[in-house]
Amino acid sequence: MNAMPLPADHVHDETPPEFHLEYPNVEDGRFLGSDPKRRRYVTDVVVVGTGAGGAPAAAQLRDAGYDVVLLEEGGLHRTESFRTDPISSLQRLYRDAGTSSIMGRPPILFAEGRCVGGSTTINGGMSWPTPEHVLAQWSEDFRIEATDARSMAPYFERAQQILHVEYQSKDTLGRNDELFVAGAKKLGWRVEDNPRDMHRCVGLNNCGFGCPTGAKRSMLVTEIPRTLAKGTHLLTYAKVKRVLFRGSQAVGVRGHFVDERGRRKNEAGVKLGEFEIFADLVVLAAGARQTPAILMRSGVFGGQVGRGLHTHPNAKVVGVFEDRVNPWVGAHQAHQIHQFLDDGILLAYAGVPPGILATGIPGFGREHAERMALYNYMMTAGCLIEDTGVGRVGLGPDLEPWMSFRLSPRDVETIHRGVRMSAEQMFAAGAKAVLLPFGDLAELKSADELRRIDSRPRKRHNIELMTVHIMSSARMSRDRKGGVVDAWGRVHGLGGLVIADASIIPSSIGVNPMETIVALSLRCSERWADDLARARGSLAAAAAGA
Amino acid sequence: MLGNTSMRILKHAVAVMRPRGGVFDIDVDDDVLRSMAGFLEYLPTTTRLGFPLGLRLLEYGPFLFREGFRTFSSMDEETAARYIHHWERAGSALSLLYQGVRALVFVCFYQHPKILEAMEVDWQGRADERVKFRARVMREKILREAAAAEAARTSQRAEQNEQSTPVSAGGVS
Repeated sequence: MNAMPLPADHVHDETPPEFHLEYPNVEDGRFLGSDPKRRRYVTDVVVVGTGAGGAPAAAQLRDAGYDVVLLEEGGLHRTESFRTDPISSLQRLYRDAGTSSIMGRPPILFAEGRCVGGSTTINGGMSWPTPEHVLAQWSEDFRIEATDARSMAPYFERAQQILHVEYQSKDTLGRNDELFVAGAKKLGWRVEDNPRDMHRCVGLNNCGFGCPTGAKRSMLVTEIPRTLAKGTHLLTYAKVKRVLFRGSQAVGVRGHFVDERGRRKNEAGVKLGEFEIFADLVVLAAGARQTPAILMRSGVFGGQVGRGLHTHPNAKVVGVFEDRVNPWVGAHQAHQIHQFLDDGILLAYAGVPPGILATGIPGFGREHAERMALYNYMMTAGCLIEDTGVGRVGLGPDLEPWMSFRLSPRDVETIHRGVRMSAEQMFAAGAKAVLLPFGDLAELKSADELRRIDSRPRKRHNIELMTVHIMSSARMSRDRKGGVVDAWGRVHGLGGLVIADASIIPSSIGVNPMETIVALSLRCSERWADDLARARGSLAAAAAGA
Repeated sequence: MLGNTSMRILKHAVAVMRPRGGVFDIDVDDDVLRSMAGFLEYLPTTTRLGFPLGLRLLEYGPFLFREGFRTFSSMDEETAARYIHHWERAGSALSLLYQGVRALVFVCFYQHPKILEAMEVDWQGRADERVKFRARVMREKILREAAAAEAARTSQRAEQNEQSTPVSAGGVS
């Protein structure tokens, strides 16, 4: 059992137990000075990234008895530091303050965590296992060993234990939760209660900026403190530039420290120092954007590195109602609609702060103010699309990654269908107007106008899309021709280098990927522990023989 | 940090784009400008370095696009609004710059505490209340579980004692 016990010795406080979690063995890279000499560490395993892939891998390898150093490019922000203000939260918790984008027509806004816990700290906590038809594709079509539903089941079960997956308490639902269900029921659609990683969520709707109540079971409050207590060492504000090799064997990583803004030169103008970590096993878990970039910076080019990127884009729809919705009261996505998953459409909703929602409302000045004055009467919903387009991660002249993605004609069609469904659901729930993500069709005044979506020319450049679910940029495959890693996350053709994040997911999965990432990480790291033990056994045998 | 010229252009952009009318007529423009300048510090290097160049393009755009011999920051708000609408519809890089500046203005404007208050959005107040609420819920839960565990231990001990009693009762004495 991997669940992190909550501290029981603070029960008299007026603060939740997560405020009292301890984080031993952490070094803050911002304060490790500008020593021109590189700081050097020697360990058994170095894990790059502390999110859904890195944290479970680090914890499992530590449990198996290995010395582990965990690296995180962002900071350790404790539960009690989380606020509802998006500006400071974006700056502290998100890469590029949440302004990243994927190039293409249209560009897709992309956000990922840059903090301890990675994107699990700032996601909505939705925890769905990989759908069975997707697992069948991996095991039967791609012939990837032990990825069928039966083989994966124990890992999903363990992932759910770690994530403490549960359903929302009914007493914490808000008006937007009710409207989402009411609209679906009126249309005869089946609504799923959304399993999420939480321990008695009290419905604040602030998941995207860190959970100030401590309810969300992100890696920040589960595997990270658990493995730190067992002796794992965590270096924060540590940006990995490249993997070090001896021949085809990875022997460690090299990088430098950064400040809170992600820059090497801090506000005082001091250039922060470098580090090198030597290890028998290098685990890359920096996410589907950074992991291929680290590979490429390390000279691992060509083949499938960075190719096959999937983006799971989502399109937003805003309903305006007669009565107050108060989108800031209630739970984050207590429900979803999975009925149309076979068509590649997942329907969901979210509470979005005014400043963020405003960026998706057309116009400026007085026109914008008139719409935003109705903020408390608005509900934000939308569709997530199982994409079939072609995407890629490349390396720019500054050696930082860029991403591109081209929606397929089928994707464009699916987006239109998904937006139509979402808008229909809003009208069914009683909306008096619906705002759409199309530059040339911004608003519908009644359900009679839904056909305008059907007749809209399938132009892609003026659709507003965003995503938080990129994957498959270093995917699993049977051989080097089809992907970057084998069925156990080991990079084809290289020793001592493995990957445990969304980049190894072999195909678009159509649901929120956190549980898939945790399960794959547990499954792979179990094998890596065996590999390390075998390698050490052979070395010991060779030494004894000599 | 942005230079004086960039700040002047940005200030005019805020004045033109910021929401107006109703509850939004509160003078927070200087705070919005400061907040925007602070936000830029967290953007990736290429965006950060390109941003002042984009602002210059906005400033001298009227010359470049033959829209008159005036800079953006010297236009009255109505003319400037018309000019910005051109950018909105221009497509490609110009639209992206428009979208970027607009997003920054809106995030910093609508999240200003005075504006939130005027909009009757008290997310942070609710957060403070929910934190205390969950603390109470969890405290009760932990105490309840601890009491149940203690009761289970007590009953286990009693059971063990019961089993061992006949042995000690019929002991060597």
